[in-house]
Amino acid sequence: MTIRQRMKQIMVGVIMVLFALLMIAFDEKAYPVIVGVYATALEFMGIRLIWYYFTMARHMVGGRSILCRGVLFVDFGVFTGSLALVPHIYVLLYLAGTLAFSAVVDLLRAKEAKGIDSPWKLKTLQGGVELLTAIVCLLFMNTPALVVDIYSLGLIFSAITRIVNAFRRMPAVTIS
Amino acid sequence: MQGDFHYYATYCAAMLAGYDHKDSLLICHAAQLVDFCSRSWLKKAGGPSDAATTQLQLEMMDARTDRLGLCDITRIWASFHFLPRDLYAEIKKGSKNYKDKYRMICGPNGDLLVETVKLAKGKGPAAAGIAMHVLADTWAHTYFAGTPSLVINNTNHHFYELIPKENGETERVKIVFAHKPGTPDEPDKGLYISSIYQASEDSIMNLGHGRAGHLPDYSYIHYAYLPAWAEYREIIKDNPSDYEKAFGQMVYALKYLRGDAEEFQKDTYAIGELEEQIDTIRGIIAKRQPDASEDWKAFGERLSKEEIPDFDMDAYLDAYRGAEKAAKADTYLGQFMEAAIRQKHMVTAQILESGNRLVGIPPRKAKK
Repeated sequence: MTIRQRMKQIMVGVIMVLFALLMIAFDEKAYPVIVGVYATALEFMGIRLIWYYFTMARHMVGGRSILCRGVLFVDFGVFTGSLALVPHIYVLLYLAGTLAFSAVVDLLRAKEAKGIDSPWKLKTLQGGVELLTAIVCLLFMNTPALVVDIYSLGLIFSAITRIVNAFRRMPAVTIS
Repeated sequence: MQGDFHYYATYCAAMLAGYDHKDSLLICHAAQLVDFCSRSWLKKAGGPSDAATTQLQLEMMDARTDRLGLCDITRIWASFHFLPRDLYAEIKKGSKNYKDKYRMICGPNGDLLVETVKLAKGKGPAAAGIAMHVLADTWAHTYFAGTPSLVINNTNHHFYELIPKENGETERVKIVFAHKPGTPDEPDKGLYISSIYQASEDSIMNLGHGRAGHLPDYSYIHYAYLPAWAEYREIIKDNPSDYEKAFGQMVYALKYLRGDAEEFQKDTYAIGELEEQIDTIRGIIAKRQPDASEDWKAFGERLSKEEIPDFDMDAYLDAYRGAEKAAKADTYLGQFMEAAIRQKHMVTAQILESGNRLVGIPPRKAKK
């Protein structure tokens, strides 16, 4: 990871912590802001991937997966933006759902990393805690204030692991 | 390629081209030093940082991959390890950025190789050694580019070693790549260490053959794979054949540098002149081993009847450091650094001239 990529990871981690603290402090009032920023970020990522596909990856073996990811990100971004106007319980359900999805992706990546002797333990821990958070959120669905706090704590954990990951050095294979 | 070919095999090629033991040692030392002359080492030596011919793992992990950082990386790796085969390659698809990257793909017998060898003519053994490193790598690093690029350098699961069977057929053995830098490859299990997949186009993990690990550097291997740029066409790489040509071309190029040939031409190899040694050379190249240093060393010592010392990157450091400022250029390391700067400037200028923006901003062409 280069210094620039490291800085980016740390900034995303800090923003996630700020979101979590906002949610704990303002409970449901912070939802529209969070949903707005989340939707914008997803759309921006999606558009960037689609642009990369049409200018470069279109000609690459396996490049279509980049287009698919781009379209999915834009789709999720639009959907997330539309949630600003629905009851907050659904927003919370959606956020818990994305957390569970992210957990499954992390666990699958950890499994893949283990298979190729790559670092996998931190990713497994991250995926496990995210999944647990999502399940606990669903269990306490009837007490929204508590769910907000649980979700926020899960978000803070994810942010910290992201920041820790940014400081880890990932060695490249020496080319001679 | 690795130390076995850059150091010991280059020594053998120099002896076969007619150089004496002392000059052959200087040539092969320079050829191997290309893999060690990083900015960190130059700082220790007191040399100019522009003479860097490689980047250490630690330097790469912190390397910038913004526009300027990418230009710096590309100047080093394209000039010394992944010499582009055709800067004007016909390609109708893709954006300007894609075309620029595509045209950086390394390969043997390009115009830049001829320029590289000619540039070393009359400049001493250090320059000859650098040219031999560049020449040898054009054979080992074929199909990869010396610039970070996912769309060019990525590889996928379709990677097989081709092993000839007794009945004349070829067996395909799946190659598995693991990401555990620092651990050795296990050729018997088909397990090789590579850089991890990074979806970012300009990630340092996507530089050169990092995604295929050290596999292209092994002389014995014959493999089939799908390069990211080849539109799902399977490429078959026959290293034993390529390495034999690399050796033959080194002998021919060294004869030219020594003054035994008038011209250096593409696609010319001194294989026919190596009748007595060709079986030994083919035997070493085809032997299934990750490091053929011992065999090349023994062959070299048989040729010269002299002992070849192990490579020591600091062997000539004291002479360079101890020389007066004005006399540094006359030392072996001074000549090495000057030759490295010349090579880098020549390749960079040619890339810029072609309109490629990966090493900087090309100068505006004068209006007619």
